[in-house]
Amino acid sequence: MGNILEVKNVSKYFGDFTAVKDVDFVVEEGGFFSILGSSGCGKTTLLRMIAGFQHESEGDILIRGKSMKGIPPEKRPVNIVFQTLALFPMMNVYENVAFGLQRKKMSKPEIEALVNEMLSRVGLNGFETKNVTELSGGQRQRVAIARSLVMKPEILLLDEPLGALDRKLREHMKVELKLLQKEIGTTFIYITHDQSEALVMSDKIAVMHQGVFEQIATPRDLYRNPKTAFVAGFVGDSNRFEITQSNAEQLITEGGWKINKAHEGAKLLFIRPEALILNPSKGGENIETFSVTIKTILFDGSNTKLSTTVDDSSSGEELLISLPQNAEFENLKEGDSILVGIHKDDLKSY
Amino acid sequence: MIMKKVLLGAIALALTSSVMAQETLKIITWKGYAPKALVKEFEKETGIKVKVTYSNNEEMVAKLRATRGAGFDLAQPSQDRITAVQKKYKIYQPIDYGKVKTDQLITSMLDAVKKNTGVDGKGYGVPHVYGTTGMIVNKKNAPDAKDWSDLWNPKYKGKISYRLKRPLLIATAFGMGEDPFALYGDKAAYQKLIDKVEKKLIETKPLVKNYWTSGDTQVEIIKSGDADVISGWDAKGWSVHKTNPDIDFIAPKSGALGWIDTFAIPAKAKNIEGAYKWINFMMRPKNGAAITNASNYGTASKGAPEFLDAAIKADFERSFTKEDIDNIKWHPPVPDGFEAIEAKALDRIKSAK
Amino acid sequence: MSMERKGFNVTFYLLIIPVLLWLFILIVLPHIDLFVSSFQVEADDGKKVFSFDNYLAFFKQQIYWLTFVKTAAYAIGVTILAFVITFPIAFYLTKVTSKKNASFLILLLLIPLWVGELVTVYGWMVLLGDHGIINHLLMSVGIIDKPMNMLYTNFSMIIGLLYMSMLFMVVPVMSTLESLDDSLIEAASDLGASKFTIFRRIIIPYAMPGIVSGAIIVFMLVIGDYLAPNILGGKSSLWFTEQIYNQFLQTFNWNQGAAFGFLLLMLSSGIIWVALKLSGQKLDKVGS
Repeated sequence: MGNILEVKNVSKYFGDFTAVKDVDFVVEEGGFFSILGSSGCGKTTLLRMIAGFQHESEGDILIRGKSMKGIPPEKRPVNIVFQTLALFPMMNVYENVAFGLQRKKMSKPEIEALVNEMLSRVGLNGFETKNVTELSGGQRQRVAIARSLVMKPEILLLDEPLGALDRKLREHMKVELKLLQKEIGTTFIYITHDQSEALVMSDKIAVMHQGVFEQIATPRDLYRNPKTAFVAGFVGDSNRFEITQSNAEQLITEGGWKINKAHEGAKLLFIRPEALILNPSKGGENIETFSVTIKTILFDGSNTKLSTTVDDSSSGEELLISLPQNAEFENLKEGDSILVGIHKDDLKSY
Repeated sequence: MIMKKVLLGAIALALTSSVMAQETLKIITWKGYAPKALVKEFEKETGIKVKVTYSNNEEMVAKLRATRGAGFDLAQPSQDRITAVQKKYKIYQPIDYGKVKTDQLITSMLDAVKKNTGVDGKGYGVPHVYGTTGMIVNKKNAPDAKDWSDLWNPKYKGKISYRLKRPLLIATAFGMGEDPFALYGDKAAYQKLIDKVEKKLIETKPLVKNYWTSGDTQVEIIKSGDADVISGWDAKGWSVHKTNPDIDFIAPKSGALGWIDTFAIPAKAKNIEGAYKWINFMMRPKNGAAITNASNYGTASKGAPEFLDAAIKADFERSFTKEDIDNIKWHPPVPDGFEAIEAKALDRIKSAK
Repeated sequence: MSMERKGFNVTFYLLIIPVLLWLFILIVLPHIDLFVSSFQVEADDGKKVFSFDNYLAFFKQQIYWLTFVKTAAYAIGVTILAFVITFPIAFYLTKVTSKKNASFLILLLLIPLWVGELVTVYGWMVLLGDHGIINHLLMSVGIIDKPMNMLYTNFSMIIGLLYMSMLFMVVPVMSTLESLDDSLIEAASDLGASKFTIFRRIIIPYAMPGIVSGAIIVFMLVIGDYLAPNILGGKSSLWFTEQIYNQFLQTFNWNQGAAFGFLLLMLSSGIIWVALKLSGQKLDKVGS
C-alpha cells in the first residue's frame, strides 16, 4: 500500500518559539499512526497543520501526493475528532452526524441511509433524536467519531479523544477504536500523551519531544529498541543509571557498579524491570548476572515489583525488578539477597 | 441602581429636613424667575431659606395635583392656566390682595390677572412676568416673513419650524383671520375652528423642517441655520439676535400672543406669610428690572423701567411698534375641556405624514 | 447552632424590611393607584366612576392604536438593526481580538452610558444637522453640493435609538459567545461548512439565549423611550410614550394616561411573549 500522507520537513514557529521542528514522516494508507508525546511537545500543532487550522512555517504536507498548501480545512479530505469532542449542543445525535453530509448537498434519503449506517456501526441506533447533552461520555465519543467517519475522510485525525473518559471506559474504548479502524480501513492519525493507548492501538508510533520526532517505529520495536535515551525513558518503565566511566569492556555507574557491556562514551543506561531474570540458570552466554538485596516488595497484582539495591554499588543504587506471580518466588522477603540476570541486548545504553 | 439613588436621596432628605428648624419658603417656578442673587438678598433680609424647583406650566399642575396643593409655598403658573385647574382640582388658595403691595404693580395688568384668574369672585393670581410668543426670523434669508401665515408659506419650504403645542393652534387661527379667543364660550364652534386649523397644519406639514420642543431646541434650530422662519418667544429671539444680527424676533401682523406668568399660592402652602414677603420683594422696581435685564422678559413691576438696560429697551422697540403692542392677544383663561380638543388635534397633526 | 441561625435571621429581616418597605411604598403602591385610576372616568358632576372607557378609547380611536402599532414596529425594527450591527462587534470582541484590546473597546462602547441620553441626543444634532459636521465634511470634500437632510428624520431617530440601546445587546450576546468553545467552529469548518453556514447553524443558535435577552432589553428601552423620538425624530415621529406624557401633562387626563401606561406594559409584554414563542426560547433560560 502507498503512502497516504507525506509530511515533508515541516516546521512551525510562533514568534521566537519553535513548536514543530523539521518533522518528516509518511503514513501508509489504512494505517493507525500515533504521535506520542507529553503536553506541549508540539503534537497538537502538527495535527492542526494537517487539518488545515494552522499553516506550516516551512515544509509541505501532501495528501495522496497533493500539496495541501492554501487549502482550507473544509476542503481537505481529512476530518478531526477534537479533544473536547466539539459536538454541536444545539443539535441532536442525528443532526450532528448529518451536519457534514448536508454541507455536501446530498439528498435527504442518501444522508439518512449513510447516517443510519454509521450510527449502527458505532452502536448508537435508537439514539437519533437524543440531545447530545443527554449522552454518556462513551456515547458522546462515538457520536464524535461517527460524525467524522461518515464523511469518509482519507485520514481521520484524533486529538486525544479518550482524555476525558474515566480509566475503565478508556481501556474499553481503546480496543473498540482499534477494531473500528480495522473494520473500516480508514487511515487514523492519533495523538496522545498516554503510551498505553499508543502501544495498544497503533501500527506505527512517532515519539515527539520538544517539537522533534525522536523515533518512528512499530510499538514493539519502540519498546524493544528505543533509539534515543528520551524514548527509552518515556516508553515503558525503566531503571535509569548515570554512567560515569566507560571502556572497551565495561560501563561503570555513579555508584561504582561495573556492567560488562562494551559501549565507549555511553552516558546513560536503561534497564526495564520486566527484562530482569530472577535466579537465572548460571552460565548463559549472553546473560550478565549480579546480586541484589530486597528493600521492599511493592505488591500490585500482575504488576508487582521488587525494590532492590545493587550489591556491587557502593552508593546502593536502586533497581526495580518485575516479580512474576508464581509459587517459585512466593517466599522472597525483605532483606533477602538474590541473584539477578539480564540479557546483554536488554542493557540499553546511550 | 435607581432604587439605590432614590433610597439614598430619601434618607438624605429626611436627615436634612429634621436638622433644619429654619423657616423655609419652597417655590416652584420657571427658570430665570428666581435668580440666585435675589434669593440671597431675600434670605439675608428676612432670614427665610428659599428652595427653588424649576418647572413649566404642565408639570406645575401635575405636581400640585398629585399632592392636592401641598409641597410648595408658592407657584408661578401662567394666568390662563389657573381657573380651569382650580375649579377642578382646588390646588390653589385665593390671594389676599390686602397683603400684596399693589402700588408696586402696573394697575391694568393686576386688574386683568385678577379677573382672568377669578373663581367664584376671588382672584388667584398676582402678575409677575409677561412676554409674547411671536416669530423668530432670519431676516437675511426671509426678509418678507411678517405674519403667522408665513409659517405655511411655500416660499420657506423646509425652513419652517414651530412648537406643536396649543399656542401654535391659536396662532394659526389668527393667521387664518379667525379669532379663537372669541369662541371660548362656544365649545362646538371652537371644535370646528380647531378642525380647520388641524386641516391647514396637516396640509402644510411638508413645508415644516421640524417641530421644536423646548427653549433650547428653538434657539438651536434657527441658530444652526436649519430653519429661517419659526415660532418663538421674544426673549429667546432677542438673545439670538445678540450673536447673530440677521436673526430677530418679530411681532406677527395678526397679533403676537401675550402671556402673563403669575404668583399663585398652593392650597396647602405652609409658609403663606413668607410667600407674600417674596411677592412683595420680587416686585420692587429694582428687583423687577433685574429679572428683565437678565432674561429679557417684561415685568409687571410699575417702577422698573428706570432700572432697565438701554439694550433691553432697544430690543423691545425694534420688535414692537405702538400698533403691535395694542394688537397683542392676551391669553384668556382656557375653559375646561378645551385642552382635550386641542390635544387630539395635536396628536393627529404630529402623526400625519 | 440554632441560636446563631436565629441571630442571622433577625439581622437578615432587619436589613430586608426597609428595602421591601421602600419598594412597596415607592414602586408597588403608586402602580396600584395608577391601575385603579386607569379604570375610572370623570362623570359630569366631577365624581370618579368605574369604567372600561379608557381602555376602549385605545382601540376605538385610530390615532391611539395606530401610534402604538407604529411605535412597536419601529421598536422591532431597531431591535433587529441593533442585533445586525452589534453581533459582529460582539463576535469580534470575544473571539477575534485579544482580551486586552477587547476590554479597552468595551470601555469605548460604554461611553454613551456615561454621558447620558440627553447629551448624546444633542451630540447627534450637532453631527447630523443641515449645517452639521457630517454635511459640512461631505460638502467640503465635494461629494455633495447641497446639505443632506438627515436630522429630524426617521433616520436620525433610529440612529439615536440604536446608539443608546446597542450596548444592551452587545453585553448579553458577548456573555454567551464567551462560553462558545472555539473547537465547535473548527469542527463545523472541518465538516465542510462555509463561514456563513457556521454563523447560521452554529454561532447564532448557540448565542440565541443572549440574543433574545438582549433583544428584550433593547425592545423595552426603545418602545419606552421618549427623548430620541421627540428630539431627533422629526415632525411625524409620534411615539406612544409621548401620548402618555400628553395625557398626563397636556390634557390632565390621568385616568387615560394610566390606562395607556398599562396598555403599553401589557402589549409590549405580549409582543415579547410572541417573539419568545416564535424563536423557541424559554424565559427562564434567557434570563439565566
